Amino acid sequence: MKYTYILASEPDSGPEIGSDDWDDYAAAYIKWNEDAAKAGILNAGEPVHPPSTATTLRQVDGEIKLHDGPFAETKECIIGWYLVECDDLNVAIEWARKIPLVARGFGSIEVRPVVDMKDLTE
Amino acid sequence: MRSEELVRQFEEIHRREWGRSVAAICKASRDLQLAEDCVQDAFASALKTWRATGVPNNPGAWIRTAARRRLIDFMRRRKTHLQNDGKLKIEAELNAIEEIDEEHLADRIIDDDELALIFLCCHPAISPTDQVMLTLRIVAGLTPKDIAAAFFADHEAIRTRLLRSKRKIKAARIPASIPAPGQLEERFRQVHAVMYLIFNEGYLSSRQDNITRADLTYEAMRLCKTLFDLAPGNSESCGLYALMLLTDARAPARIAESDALISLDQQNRYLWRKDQIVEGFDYLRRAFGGGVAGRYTLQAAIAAEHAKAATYDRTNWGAIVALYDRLIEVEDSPVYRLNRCIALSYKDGPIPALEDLSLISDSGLLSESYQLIATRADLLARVGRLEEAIKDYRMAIDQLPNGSIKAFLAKKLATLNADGDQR
Repeated sequence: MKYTYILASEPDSGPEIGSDDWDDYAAAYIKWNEDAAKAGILNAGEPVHPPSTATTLRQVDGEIKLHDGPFAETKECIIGWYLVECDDLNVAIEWARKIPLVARGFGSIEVRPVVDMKDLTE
Repeated sequence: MRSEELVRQFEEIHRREWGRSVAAICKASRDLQLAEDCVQDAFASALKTWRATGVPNNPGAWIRTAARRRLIDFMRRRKTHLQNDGKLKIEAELNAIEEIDEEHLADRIIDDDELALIFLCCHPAISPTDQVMLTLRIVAGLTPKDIAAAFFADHEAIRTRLLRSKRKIKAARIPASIPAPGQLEERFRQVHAVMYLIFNEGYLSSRQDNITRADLTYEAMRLCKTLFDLAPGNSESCGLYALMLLTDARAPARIAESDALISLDQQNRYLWRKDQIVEGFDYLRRAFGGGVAGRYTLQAAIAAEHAKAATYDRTNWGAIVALYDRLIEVEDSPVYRLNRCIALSYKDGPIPALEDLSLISDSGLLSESYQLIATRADLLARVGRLEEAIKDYRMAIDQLPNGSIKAFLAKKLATLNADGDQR
């Protein structure tokens, strides 16, 4: 069963880049990635640039319009994602719990089950 | 067999076997909705069959065997519409279901399945309100119509909510499993909270037209007893059950003929249900035997102190204050602090209690709530500061919508006004 973790936080909620705290924070992420990879649950994952770098596409009156910015203006912004494969939601939650973003209280993680295309064709 | 006798037996079997049957079938189908449908069908055919044959020796096993047969039929039918991967998957599932022997369906092994089902319905990934609805539907076996009636809600709205929760469980694969040891305590707390919510919804209904709804208190007590029987190692389940027994024992004395609420000090204690109090004491003793007393066990102990007292005046307020101190250590809540303050006012008098109350008020958590203001009004009246008391009662009354609590406070205010006039 595949799940995505959508990681979100308020701007500048984590330690400052380059500080000692940041090094420690980054090391915790590297550790989580290694642990998850070793356990065989991690399929993929990347951090993304801030929403000010986003471009959103939307069809308006039959024409695709570009919008400078994210699809929704919210206090918390998406900062990255993971794709994991776990037996069930409990396991997915246990892994998500350890991601430094929530473990250290800098943001939130939304766990979403991935649609299995086989289920759709049933 | 006489028809009414059959219906009575059927209802009892339904109450006892519904949750266990859904649990056993859900384990095989891994699909809550499907399990529910199969068990529902099995009960429907049971009623028909048993009219002719009488109730079998092991009706639970009968139900589960019939439900499993329905599950197999359903899967076979679905298989014919599938190809390739889907077909292989369903064949594997079918084999797994067919391998479950009938012994298992009849046996006490289902205990763990039923416990897992309770944990599933009370999973923190589901909203607390939906946990309540799911538990009542899936574990207690109430129909969406029953639930709608109990919550004064629209039948269709309840059905939709239940469906949405079941879809989430399936799509996100929330497992019916007993939580890992590290999570167990937290998850038990969640289950207890759901049961306590159901109990309170029945007992302290927020609805004005119906002060107590006996069926919800009954369902909560039944669920809690089931939980304790399934997992006797958790002493808080036992404490919660004791709390429910001791609280509900006072129900006959709580409501006047006029539907008005009668406070503890005014209740006719002869009306309290003695057998339930004795049972409550027994469970409370067992809960205390289980190690560190949790929030429900301590609240049950407070209820027990009230139950022990022959009259309100002869309540052991010292013991109650001490129990509130322990409770606040376990879980600090402004409501507990307020109740401790009331107990303190009977132990040491209203003046120290007023001082204590101003500390609670300063903490800001309850400063403007009607509970705090009404308590202050009562304390002020007891020290003779009538004008301030009247002002506070008015303020508390203004905060409340129509209902039994408002009526209760209005009556207190009227008494004060009358006292004032006499002077």
